[in-house]
Amino acid sequence: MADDVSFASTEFYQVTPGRPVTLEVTTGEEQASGTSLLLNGQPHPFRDHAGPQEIGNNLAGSVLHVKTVVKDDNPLTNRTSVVYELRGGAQTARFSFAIDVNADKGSAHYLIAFILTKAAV
Amino acid sequence: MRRHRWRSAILCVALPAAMHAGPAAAQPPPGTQPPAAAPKPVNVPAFNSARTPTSPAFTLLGVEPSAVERPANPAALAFSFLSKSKDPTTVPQDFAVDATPFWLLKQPTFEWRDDIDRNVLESLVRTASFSVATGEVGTKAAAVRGLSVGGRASILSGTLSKETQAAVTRLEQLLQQEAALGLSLMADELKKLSDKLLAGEITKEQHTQMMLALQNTTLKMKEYKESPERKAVEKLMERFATVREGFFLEVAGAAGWRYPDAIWSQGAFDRWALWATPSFVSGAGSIVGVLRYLSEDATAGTDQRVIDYGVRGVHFRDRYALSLEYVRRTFEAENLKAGHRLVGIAEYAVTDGAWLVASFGRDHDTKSEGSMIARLGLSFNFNEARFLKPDAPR
Repeated sequence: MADDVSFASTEFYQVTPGRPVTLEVTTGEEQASGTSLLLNGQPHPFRDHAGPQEIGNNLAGSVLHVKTVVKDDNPLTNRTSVVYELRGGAQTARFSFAIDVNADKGSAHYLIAFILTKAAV
Repeated sequence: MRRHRWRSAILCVALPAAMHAGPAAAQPPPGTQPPAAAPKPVNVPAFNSARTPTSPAFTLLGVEPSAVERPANPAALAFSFLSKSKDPTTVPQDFAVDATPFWLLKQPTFEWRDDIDRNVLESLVRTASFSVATGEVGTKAAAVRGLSVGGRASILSGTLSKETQAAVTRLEQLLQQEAALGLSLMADELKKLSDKLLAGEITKEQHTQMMLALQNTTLKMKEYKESPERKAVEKLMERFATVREGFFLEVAGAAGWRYPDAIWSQGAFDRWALWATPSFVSGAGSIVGVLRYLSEDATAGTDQRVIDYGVRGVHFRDRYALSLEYVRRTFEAENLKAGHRLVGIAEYAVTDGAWLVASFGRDHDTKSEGSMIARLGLSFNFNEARFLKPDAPR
């Protein structure tokens, strides 16, 4: 825990009825990471590091919780960063976050809540 | 991932030498004098000291700074310069900085998969580093401050090894399981928080702060800290090291100036040096060449150029390593005779932390003192956290 750092954010994303929403997670700074999801409080499958993954259709009113654990395995920097890209809604949105770990091989825990709202017609 | 323990030892205890030319062997017979015109013995450097240095500026200046600033961003780099430059007329004292420009900048979308292979341009950009150092190079009677500036880069830097790729992929699978565990422990509370947000009972900012507090609490929970997922990640990381294989070509250069009384305006160019290290690294061995040019080398007793070149072959397995190295040194100065060093080294892992090391060969001129090398020793490794294959720069 001493080498763990924590980050959280709440974001809103407008979805379009009938159009699938996809999520892509990109981990920068040449670090290793793993991502898991909860959709409306339930575990949701996610193929990590495989490009944009479909989350579902008609998601207005849903809440998508995304947790990414980044391990600092790059000895050249203690920075970590994660970019979440949502597509399929009113517009493509990129949410970029960064946090430094305290020591080599430390972990950074990102917890993001995406509130999916209905796009105005 | 395979374990490679080569070059991790940081303490070496030499046992009595099995054979070594002692001082008595070099003493001239009583009443005689060595020939006045005899060429001076040449101290050929050990292989590693002829290799491309990590910080060429420090090597050229001949200093080992106790505190090296390694700024993490451009602002920190600027601050490190400015904080040492209080008097603009004098050269700062004991200044040492080493930086890699690529990693001074944020790389928010640079994934490890983007760095498996590198072309020449990518290799140069990602590995180029520079170093600057100052230090006292004069005497008590005549104070002279030295300034050295160096650069280093890999023109070729191989490919991320298959073992490392497999290890990182496995690590990411474990991290995904760890993330899933964290979410499962927080699921009920997260649902309550999002319901409150959707109901307008809390603001977005309050929701974020409550999520952060919840996550921090979860990270301290015994179910999380002592979970198999968490322990699996920690176990893998204990011996994790990034290894690249294939062809490498490292080059480095440095230039130095002398400043009497540390005054900028009195500075004069002093010396320069170049290094090149071509190598090939594979799963069980490596071949490394070295080339070093020094415009002068005070340790060798000359203010004229010195050139070292050589080659080393290494074969290694988990429990042992065998190497053979050859380095030749040539001089521009006519009163110095060229020499060479040829040494074979065998290392065997007696236990996980101790290696038996045997070396045999010849150093510089076989007619002079200390020319034969025959040593048996124990090498202890207190740094098991990181294992690197030999001669494999990142």
